[in-house]
Parts: sequence; structure tokens; C-alpha cells
Amino acid sequence: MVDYVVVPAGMAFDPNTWDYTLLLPIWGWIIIFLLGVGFVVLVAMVYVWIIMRPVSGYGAVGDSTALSKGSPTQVFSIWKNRSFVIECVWYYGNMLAYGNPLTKMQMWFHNSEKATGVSAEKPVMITRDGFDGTVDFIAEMAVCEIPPLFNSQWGFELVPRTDINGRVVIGEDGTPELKEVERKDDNGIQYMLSTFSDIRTRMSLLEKLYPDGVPIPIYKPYDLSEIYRYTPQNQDSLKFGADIVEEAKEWSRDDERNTPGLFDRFGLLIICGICGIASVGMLWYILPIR
Amino acid sequence: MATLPFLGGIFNYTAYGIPYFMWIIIALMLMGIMMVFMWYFFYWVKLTPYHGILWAKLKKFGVSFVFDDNMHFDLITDRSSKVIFAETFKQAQEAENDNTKTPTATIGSSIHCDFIFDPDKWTFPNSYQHKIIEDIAERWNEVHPGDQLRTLVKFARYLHEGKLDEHYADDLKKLKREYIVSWARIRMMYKDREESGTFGFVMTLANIIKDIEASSYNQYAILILILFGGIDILYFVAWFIMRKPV
Repeated sequence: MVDYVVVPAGMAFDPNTWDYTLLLPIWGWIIIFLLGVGFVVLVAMVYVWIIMRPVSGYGAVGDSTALSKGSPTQVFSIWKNRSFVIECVWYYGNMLAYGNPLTKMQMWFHNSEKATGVSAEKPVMITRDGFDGTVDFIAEMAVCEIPPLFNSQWGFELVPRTDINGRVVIGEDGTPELKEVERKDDNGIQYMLSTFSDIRTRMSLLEKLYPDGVPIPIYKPYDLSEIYRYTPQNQDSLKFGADIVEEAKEWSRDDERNTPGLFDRFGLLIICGICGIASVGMLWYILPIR
Repeated sequence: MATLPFLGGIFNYTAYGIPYFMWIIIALMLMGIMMVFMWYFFYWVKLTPYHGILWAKLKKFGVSFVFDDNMHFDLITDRSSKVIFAETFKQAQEAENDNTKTPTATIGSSIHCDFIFDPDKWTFPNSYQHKIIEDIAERWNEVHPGDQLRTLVKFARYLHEGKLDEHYADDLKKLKREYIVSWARIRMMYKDREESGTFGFVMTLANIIKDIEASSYNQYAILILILFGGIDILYFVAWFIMRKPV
């Protein structure tokens, strides 16, 4: 039977050296003060962490994940819900993917080296969730400038106004009255550019019309709503990633070589179990409870 | 009957003249201080280029990433990136009678963040371009008290619309009006995918999937370690509490 000494008998404090005024001894107040300081510091740290969490992928310190043999890269991600975050994404031979692509499937193809920027002396790539490639802001802004530029110069034409019987209306000066209508080609397809696919279709024509390139204002904020208007459709990053994973799974199923053995499947589990039992046994032997 | 001290005697015994529980408190304090240092050096110092975001949150202003034609991003305040004179962005907007709020994105839940293309250093307060803009805006504001020109966005819009050409043509000659984006750059970003571009990654991923499936049971190894680690700790605590007095 064990009899516990609940009241600290023979406590080591010397009342002569520690003042017991103010309800508690001085050491009690010191401990309360230190705990208070610790609490305030902890709250401040958590607050700073909450504020800085969206950009904590800066510098891209990679963790141990399925894709950790690739290069960790910092990525500016701008999502359709207008969130901006800096993430660590693995760069893997033209492809950008999250550490575990089986659970977080978004992927991007890195087409253009111009889509790599620099932030705080570290390379950075930019991604959006509506597009399956890395983003070059300047190319995107140029694409947004093409439709108004082209449409104002080539999208409309002036044709004589006709009345209800199809006769040309003559103005007071004796010349036919003109009206502005959408320009159409021989097949009845309008010239006006209104989507990205229009721009892609007429890219060669546009290059001939504006051989130097596309002018954009020298100072311009990046407007996300305008950008999404001229983003290629059906090129979603999540769908792209899901297709890649599906394709990889098919390859994985078809590959009959290197079938995993028993040790591959259970080896680590067994080793950890043995180590755990051994640790408890050693503790029992070294520190026996009597 | 054995008499055991409470909690192994942490209130009863001393080591080097200091009670056990004080040693525990000192150890916890040291751990706390170490934690703060680790947090400082491995988290806070690492994020030095983005400390402005915290000040933006505390002082309630927006931030902008200003970038040039090579996409070099600089994080600066909205005051530096959008305002012509020495005033806050809010004051400038009020003077212009404009309350448009269209941030590109938000950082976290509440910090407005814009991305601004500025290859001609308009946002550099000491650049000659900024000084020209300041000069023109000052002269414009004297003549047009009801149509103040205080933000760079509005200045750029007026410049594009040609409103400034009539009276300030000589000064405007020193400013670039547009940046030409080459077709090669546009084509490069939007070119069609080639299957060969993704094939290597697909094969890599296939191998990874095979490895993951092969070692699917091994993921529980960490749980086994935690379980036995917990048993060890409980055993040690039980031994400490129930040990005989020295």
C-alpha cells in the first residue's frame, strides 16, 4: 500500500529569503509574469503566422513528399476567388505539380521561360487556377489589348444605309448615308475578336497587321477580370492534372515488372514494431517499477 | 506501508539548492525561449522580403507587386505604386473624387494586393519620369481644380486618351507611352502542348504511384512509433512518480 505525501512537506524554500507579501511569494509573481510574457509572445507569434501564412511558401523550402526529387520552386498563385498565395510547388521537367499529386492534382505546364520572374532575388513562377500553363503577365496583358485594338480598326465597316425596301438612302449632300456594321468575311463570319479562340484563330493575320508586336500601356494594373475574359477555355489546371494522373495510373497498371515483395510492402512496419517493443523492454529493464 | 512524495517529490527535494519544480519551470522557459529564437530565425527572418505585408495589415494600407518587362517583382505600398504626390492612396482618391476599389487579389482575407506593370520606373519616386509626372500633374491641378490628377492610374488613362497632349507635349516627349510585346512572347505562352513535353513526367508519376501502392502499409509505421513512444513516456512518468524516496 502506498501513502502519498500530498502536502509538500519539507519544501525547500526558505521564507527568510523569499518575501511572502502581496498574497504570493515573489517567486510566484515572477512565474506569473514570465507566463504572461510567454503567453503574449505566443499570441503575437500566432498572429504573425496567420498574417504571413499566405506568403510562407517564399524561398520554397521543400518537404519530403512523393515528388521531392524535383526542384522546389516558389510560385505566385492567383485564384479565381482572388486569393493570392506564395506556395512551394515542385518543378519537374516542364511540369509544375504539388508535392502529392494524387491528393492535390492541379498541374501546370511551363511553356515559356518568360513566364519565370524574380521576387526578392529568387525565381518565381506564376499560376492561376483557370489556366493549365504558367503565366506570363505581360503576354496576358498584351492579349487583352488585342481585341479593342483590332476591333476599332478592322472589326467594323461603313456600308450605305438602306430603307425598308432595300434602296440606298441618300443624304442631304447627295451622297449615300453610311452606317457602321460588323465586318464579315466571305463565309459570313464576323471579323470582331471577342474570345481567346478568335485571337488564336487569327494569330497569323494579326501578326501581319501588327508586325512589331502588341502595344500595351507603359503603366497598367493587372486586371484579373479582364484576364479571365481572354483566357483559353477548357484548359483548366485541375483537369490537366487529373488527366496526367489518370494517364500515369494506366502506365502504372500496365507495368508488370518489379512487382513489390513482402518486405517492400511491410518492411518498415515490421522494423518499427520491433524497435518499439525493444524500447519498452529496455525501459522495463533499466527502470523497474517496484 | 511505503510513503511516497507527491509527484515524485518535485515539491519536496532540491538539486543544487533549487527545488525540482523550479528546475522544470526553468527548463520550460528555456524551451520557450529556444522556440521563439527558432521561430525568429527559421520563419520570420526567412520572410524578410514580405514583412511589409504585416505592416500593411497593422496600418491598414494596400500593397502592390510592381514588375518590369522581365517580371522582376518588388513589393511596395499602394502609396508608392499608385500615388503621384506625397499623400496616401485614400487621400489621393478622395481628391480625385474616385472610390474605385479593384484589387487584383487579396492576401489572406483583408490585405489588398495589386500587380502593376511599370517598366518605365514611374513608381520610383526619384526617377526623372516620376518628377516629370509630378510636374505635369501639379500644373494640371492648378488649371483644373475640379478634375484633380493625383494617381498614376488616372495619369496613365489621360495620357492614353490624349488629354494631356495639348499643353504638355514637350514634357510628355520624355515619357514612354507604350511597351511593345513581341509576338514571340505571346506565342510562347499560348503554344499548344506537345505530348512529348509531359511524357517524362507521366512516367515518373507512374513509378511514384507504384511505389506508393507498394508501400501503402508502411505509412502506418509512424503510428507504431508514436504508440510505443507514448508507452515509453507513460512508463517513465509512472516510474518517476512511484519511485521510492531517496
